[in-house]
Amino acid sequence: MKLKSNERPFVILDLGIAFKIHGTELTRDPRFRPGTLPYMAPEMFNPRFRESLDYRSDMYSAGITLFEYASGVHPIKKRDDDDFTTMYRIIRSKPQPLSTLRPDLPSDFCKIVDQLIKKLPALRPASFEMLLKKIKELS
Amino acid sequence: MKLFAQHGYGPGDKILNGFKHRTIDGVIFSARYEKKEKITSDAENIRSISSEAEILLDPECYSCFYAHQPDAKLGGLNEWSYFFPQRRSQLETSESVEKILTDTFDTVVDLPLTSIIAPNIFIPRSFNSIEAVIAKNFIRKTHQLFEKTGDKRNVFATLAIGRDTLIDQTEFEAFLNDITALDNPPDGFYIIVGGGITDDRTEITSSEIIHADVIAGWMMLNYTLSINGFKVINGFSDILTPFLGCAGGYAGATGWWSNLRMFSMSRYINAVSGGRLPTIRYLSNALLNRITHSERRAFVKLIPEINNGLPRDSDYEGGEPDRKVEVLQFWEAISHLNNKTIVSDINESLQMLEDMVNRAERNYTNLAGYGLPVNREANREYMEALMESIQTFRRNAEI
Repeated sequence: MKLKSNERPFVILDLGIAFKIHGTELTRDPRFRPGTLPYMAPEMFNPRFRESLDYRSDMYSAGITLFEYASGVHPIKKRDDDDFTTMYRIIRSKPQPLSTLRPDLPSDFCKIVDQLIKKLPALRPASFEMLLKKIKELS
Repeated sequence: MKLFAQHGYGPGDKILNGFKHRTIDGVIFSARYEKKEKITSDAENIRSISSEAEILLDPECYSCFYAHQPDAKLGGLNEWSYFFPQRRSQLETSESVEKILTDTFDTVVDLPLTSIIAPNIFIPRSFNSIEAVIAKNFIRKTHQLFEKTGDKRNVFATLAIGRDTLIDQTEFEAFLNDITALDNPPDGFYIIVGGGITDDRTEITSSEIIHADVIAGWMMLNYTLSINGFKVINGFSDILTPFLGCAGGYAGATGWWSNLRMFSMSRYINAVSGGRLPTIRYLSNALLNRITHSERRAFVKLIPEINNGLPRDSDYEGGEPDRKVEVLQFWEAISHLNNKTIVSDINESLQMLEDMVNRAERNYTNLAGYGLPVNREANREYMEALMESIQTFRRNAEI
């Protein structure tokens, strides 16, 4: 959705599904993983994900969206993959660096996007403040 | 990456000489061997030589569980007002943890230190343990309680762990995820990795620390914490310092006795020791190891690069040098390795580390070819562990 304001020209809506970790029967169903598969963080496939899930899973989803928007391809999912293959790739496959697909983009920007989609949450930015600081340093 | 002196028994003039010769950038005083009233004058002496010197104090609270033991070897630790024997069950309450942190900060905040190291306990086996829960509580409360002193210096949370904790990858990763998402985090971490069973003469190169998963895990701690904005100071890192620096570490430390070059909790228990002092050694960067004076003389004739070609080499030219200058050569050699291998691009740094290990392996092979098999089996395992640790780290850090 494009807005008129020059400062914030884009707003991204719906990175997945908001849910309560200790919430309704729907979200406590162990067979149900709340989210849109290709954008779900690897830690969400851990059966005990409700114990440790935090904002860094949203960072991952945002990173995948940014990567796809910037390069035109999804960093993990391939066109004809079934869900199980996609799930396997999310957990195991290392995406190629964004800079290899978009060498024209600033390398620091590519590094930020690459960091957002690391498998281990500890390797993603520690906080949104840190992420915003890195983004501001780009400009 | 900076190199600090790991202070311990019998410092003499070694630390001052280290600053004079610019082989070290700082010192981590040991509360066990440094009296509170002496720190001010020692710090002044250091500053008169190097105004940039970093001066820290390890409160060594992680030895508190040993204080009950009849054979405990705690030096002057009991003279520090924050130090008391503790039982694990006592520290399961937040109040006890807060008291230790507050008492320690109140004691050290008036000292002329450049940064403050917070107390913590030792996690011996697993991050899925009672000790790990207590240690995380210390880390969580470190900054919160330090803020109350009104002091503006950086505060480092201590993370003192046994080598086994780094082997269980699942629990280790869960721990990393936890400590990188703290609400009120410290400015940095002071990391110590304990090497299992040792004696007074165990060198890091022949210890249980030399295991690919342990080194890779230690590197992973440095990498993860540094990309999350923390400064990481590594205690007792010795020859592994360049590995930790390549992974993002801010500083490493080593000292003059073997128990200052490698950490083990057994240092707090009286052991049967004695006999002769250890042989004077030379740290050869081309072998990533220490060799005796006579070995050096023999090897250099066959492989000249065994000599580091650095200024402190001259101390060894006229025969076995004085014990006081041995550590200056160690510090100089490790600083040189740091400068050679650590650059801003991590891929480039790791490549240089691999080259460094390959060179050492080649030299061991060549020496064996000349009929000089320097502890061949042990060194082959050492080289394999170093090389594998770099590969494991690359994989785990998703580089």
